Amino acid sequence: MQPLPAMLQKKIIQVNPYEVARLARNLGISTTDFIARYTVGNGSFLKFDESSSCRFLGPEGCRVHPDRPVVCRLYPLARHVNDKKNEWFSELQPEAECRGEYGTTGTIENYLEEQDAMAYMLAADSYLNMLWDMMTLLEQKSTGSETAEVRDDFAESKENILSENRERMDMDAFPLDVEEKMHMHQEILQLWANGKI
Amino acid sequence: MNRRTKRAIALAAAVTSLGASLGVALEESQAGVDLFLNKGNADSLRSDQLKLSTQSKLSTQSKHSIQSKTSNQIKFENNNRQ
Repeated sequence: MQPLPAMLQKKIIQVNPYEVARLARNLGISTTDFIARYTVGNGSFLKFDESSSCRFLGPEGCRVHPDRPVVCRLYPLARHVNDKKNEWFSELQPEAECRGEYGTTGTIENYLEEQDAMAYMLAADSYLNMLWDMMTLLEQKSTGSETAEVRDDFAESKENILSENRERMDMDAFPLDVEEKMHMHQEILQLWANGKI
Repeated sequence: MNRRTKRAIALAAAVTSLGASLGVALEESQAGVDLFLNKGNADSLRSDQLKLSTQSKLSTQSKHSIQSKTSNQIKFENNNRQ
């Protein structure tokens, strides 16, 4: 089922590096280009147009449907995962004007299969596992002794730090297929987070 | 800025953006990281603002509205996937 206009307006759609790579491949552009043209929040969210509609919404629905992000695949479900690897789902209230067909006889498992969501959920989980490790590392690095130094120097360094982060989250350096790109990207990110590179 | 501090801030930036892309909500204790990364106001930075609460380790993957703060949610437990 193609997504319908009501659910593609005034929404926040997050995209992780795997989803960025899938969308970039769909459009035939580099991930660097995709991040610059189609995302906000340092590449974390899709950019909407002036009417607050998804930029991939065309006259006949989603223009990137085969490579749409997981939040689009799951809608009207939401997926929750914590650092204990517990997973659960909740149901969102569909838009009042939504013309989607909803039933009560299906199962979540069947729905996920129909929406081809597995590769996306596995990718999200692999990045989440990295994120939990990075958060632990960050907690360990916080000592308080650098505060004054940070206050004095940060204004000059901010743009460089954000720019370096955008490059770090960008998989363009790996000219492989999307799945291989993701594995290599995660390996490099892991090495960097642990101070090995 | 010494190398250690720079690495810590770079790691904070990575955690912030990767977390956002995965639907990990940022709590108040982590807002300090966003504050100095996105708004450039380092004056209010405290040493404990680099610390992250373990309660923020939850990813919510949903297409949520920018207008409503909450949505009507009915939880389906994992063992009810049938």
